[in-house]
Amino acid sequence: MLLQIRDLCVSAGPHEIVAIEGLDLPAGRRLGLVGESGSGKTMTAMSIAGLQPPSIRVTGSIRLDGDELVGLSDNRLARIRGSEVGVVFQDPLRALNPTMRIGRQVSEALRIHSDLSRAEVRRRVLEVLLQVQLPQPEQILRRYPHQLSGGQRQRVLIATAIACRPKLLIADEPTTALDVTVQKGILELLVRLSDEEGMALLFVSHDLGVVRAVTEHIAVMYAGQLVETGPANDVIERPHHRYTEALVAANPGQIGGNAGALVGKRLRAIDGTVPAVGHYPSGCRFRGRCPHATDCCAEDPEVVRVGLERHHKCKHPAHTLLGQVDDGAR
Amino acid sequence: MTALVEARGLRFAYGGRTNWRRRPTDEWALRDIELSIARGSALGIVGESGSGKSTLVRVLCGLLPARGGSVAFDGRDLGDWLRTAPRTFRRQNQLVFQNPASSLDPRMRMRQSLAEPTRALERRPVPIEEMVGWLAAVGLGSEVLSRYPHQLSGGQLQRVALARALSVRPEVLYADEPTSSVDVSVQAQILNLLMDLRARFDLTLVMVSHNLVVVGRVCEHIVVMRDGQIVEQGATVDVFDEPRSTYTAELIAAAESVAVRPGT
Repeated sequence: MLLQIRDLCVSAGPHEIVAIEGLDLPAGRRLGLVGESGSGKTMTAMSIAGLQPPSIRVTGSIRLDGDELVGLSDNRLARIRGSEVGVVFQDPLRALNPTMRIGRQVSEALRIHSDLSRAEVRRRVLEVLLQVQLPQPEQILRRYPHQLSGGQRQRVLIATAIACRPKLLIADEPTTALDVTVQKGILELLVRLSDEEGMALLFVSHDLGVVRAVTEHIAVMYAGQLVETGPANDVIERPHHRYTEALVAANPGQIGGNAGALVGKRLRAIDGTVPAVGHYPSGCRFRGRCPHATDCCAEDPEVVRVGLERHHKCKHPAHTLLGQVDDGAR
Repeated sequence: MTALVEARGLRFAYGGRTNWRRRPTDEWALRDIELSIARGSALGIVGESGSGKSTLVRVLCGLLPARGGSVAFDGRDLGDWLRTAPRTFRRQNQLVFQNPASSLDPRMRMRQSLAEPTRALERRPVPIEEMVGWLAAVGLGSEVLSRYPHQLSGGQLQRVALARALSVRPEVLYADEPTSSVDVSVQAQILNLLMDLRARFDLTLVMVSHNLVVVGRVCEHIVVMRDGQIVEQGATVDVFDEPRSTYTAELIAAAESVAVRPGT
């Protein structure tokens, strides 16, 4: 197992932000971490990269290729971050240094983490710029971030992250700031790179559709906990946890087929908001917003295993193996 | 149906410089826009960044001056409106922006921000009860009044922005990417709210988005823009079923590839 998370607890002072019992990502595979703002998905991803803010405490175990990352010194973490784990952030304009030419930014990790000569570094930089399908890489090298489009900047950021051939790439909402057409290109690029390089991908997004376009497996987070995991298509088509079900139902829909019938139709929004850190309810944290919740939801939910690959933590699951449960609570 | 907003041969360019023929030296940001928006309808304007969709909306609501062609609101030319009755025009055409956090003054409590349009356009102070009513219409409680923007979530801020726009009882509500900076679940709430408000206040709704799926859910008419021009317009159903331009087809394919069917 490339990435193995056990009993991870991320906390700020007395408040727990994220608590994950277990999450695995095999080498070369792609996993999507889905959740609303405030679900703790970004905090989880950043803890894996050791990029959580200094006031945040991380306990438990995060193993990368067998090596424990939790409790590692900043120096050792920095070494791992550049060479074994690459990170791509949401806003490329903020992640890139505005005063540095692209060539220098992409080569930075190589200059620090490898012992390549200058010529070799340059060759590798050109190679990764080609790999992320930037046209005329020799010219891009000399540009500043503001001279590139949003999509190009995101490609530069991906090139920077993969320059040292990491085993794991963490992408946090890499396409949220982009147009749908540009987004499509970036998503395809991430899939291709992960296949070509045998690089595992942890893809973080609030958008189930975007995640499905990239990853085979998804893990749905709510209020700092994992509520459901399984193969992406399966989870989206037949969600077990009532939260996943509500999240799928909140989507505006499709274009082909009966799109005409949907124009002007209200969406099935989830009432209320994600509880704030420090105000998590006992038991199932979604119960305050869940139309199916009953008294037993106030007790801590167990992890339920369905089939070989799916897990959820819902006491009143939808679409279980016995067929769709419909108790008319809607 | 009569057209409430009508653009004929509309052109616009940023930058005020002109050459000796009085043509702008910068590129046209909008070219030959022919558009008419019926009273009470919902129109979606779709396109990528730089397609001119936001520029078009700003010209239509009089924030940017047309540099050629004409725009008419309620049968009267826009220039005429802004010369003779600017406050009435502004009151009837309200705009909500993509990022409510940056469109609300961070130093103002919500009750100040909310009162602003009425004070500026109707020249009267606003009683608290009235503001509470506006907030109730967008699903917010009165406790919001004493808050600053940083104390509210993205979804709440967008609701305040909507309440603020509706406080002057507009005819047309322009919403520029109203859900681009929020999650899918909050997006559903905001889109529902837009549809409810439209029905309740007989609004004409013009919504700008790069996301075809979002626009298609709310608007029965759709305009597809590229490079400052309209490449296609028509009923949403027709455009989705049989896009006439390849560009629209591309946009549809891109949106479709990440769409999630909400189930039944």
